[in-house]
Amino acid sequence: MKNRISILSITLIAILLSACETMPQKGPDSNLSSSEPVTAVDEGVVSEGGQGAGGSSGAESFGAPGSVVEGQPVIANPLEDPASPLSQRTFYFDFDRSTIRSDDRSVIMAHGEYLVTHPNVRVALNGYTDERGSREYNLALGEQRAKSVADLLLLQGVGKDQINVVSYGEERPAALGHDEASWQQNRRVVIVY
Amino acid sequence: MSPAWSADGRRLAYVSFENGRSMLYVQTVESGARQLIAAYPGINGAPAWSPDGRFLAAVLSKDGNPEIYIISLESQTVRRITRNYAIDTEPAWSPDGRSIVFTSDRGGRPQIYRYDIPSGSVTRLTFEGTYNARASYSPDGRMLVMVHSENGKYQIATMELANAALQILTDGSLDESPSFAPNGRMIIYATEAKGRDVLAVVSVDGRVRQRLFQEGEDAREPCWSSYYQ
Repeated sequence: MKNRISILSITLIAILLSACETMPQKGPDSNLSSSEPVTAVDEGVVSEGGQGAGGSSGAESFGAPGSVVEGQPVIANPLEDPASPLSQRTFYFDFDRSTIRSDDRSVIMAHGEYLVTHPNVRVALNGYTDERGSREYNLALGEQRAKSVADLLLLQGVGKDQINVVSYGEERPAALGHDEASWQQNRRVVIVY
Repeated sequence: MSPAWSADGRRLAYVSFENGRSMLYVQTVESGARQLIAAYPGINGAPAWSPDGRFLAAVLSKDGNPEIYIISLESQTVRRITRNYAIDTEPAWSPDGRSIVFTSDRGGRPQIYRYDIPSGSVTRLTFEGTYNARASYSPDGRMLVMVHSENGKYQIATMELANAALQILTDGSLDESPSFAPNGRMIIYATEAKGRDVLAVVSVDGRVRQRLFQEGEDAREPCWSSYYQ
């Protein structure tokens, strides 16, 4: 009786040990994605602001979720990329004018493209003036400036509910001097994401 | 911003940005109770009391661009009185309650216009200088005081309504927010001295001028009250 049990247990242990030896080993390369998404990633980084996938959604277009991809570039959010035109958020205006300067049009339109491709993103357009003249008139002028920028965005197809226009008039100046050097810094519209 | 006392001195209308955008409030001084008058999309600003205290003229941009409206405080109804693609703002009632002067840049630059309430007609009042804004009546209704600019300086000027004669009273470069004292003989306004915003008074004939200095904070937008003597 004792001998049969001990023989059985030895046999079992031998079987188990042999089973361990044949288990497949996990190699470090087994979860690497194929090469195709890598080239798509390169194009995404180089593109002008806002085209195609941005930021975090781009990370999902390659590799299995949660996998580690070694040696691949990290996708920058175009909103945080200092080289992207979207990094310019302040636009300046001439005295008593609410017309957009020609140099600024393409940058504002870059913002428009980004907003059209990200319909869940909302911005505030804050309008300001310099201190000269009356306070309430400046509140209206600040609003006109912000609306000029809003009109350009709307023309590109940005949704009305993505834009909130607020005027501060001559309040909250960016520069506190009483000369043109300060005044020109205050005649502005700022896009706030 | 833009505080305005009712004629009986018991209520104050003003513009507040406490919620991140402009809204119009009326506050009763004695009780401190406050009523929200206008919070439409866009600008809610420039409140001006009718002489009988029943109406506020105000600026709303809810219909596309800044226009003047008359708001009834009793019924809360809103009546639009300007219809123009330009900026119309800074309304002020005449003492007889029949006219509202306001600032408009419908002619290209800001100038003063008058709206005749019975007929609804609008006439331009100022033709001198490149900029005239924020006009208000003298207590006897015969003169306006306003911010006036020619040559890039912003100064205080009066205009006799009978003959449109304009007289510049101050010699600052950034003067603003003028208003007549209840006795009609002095005008208080905001000016800039040594880099600070301070208040000053000038006699109606322009001969006497005095700065009102105070310690500490800058002061802006003075508004006479008739209640506290």
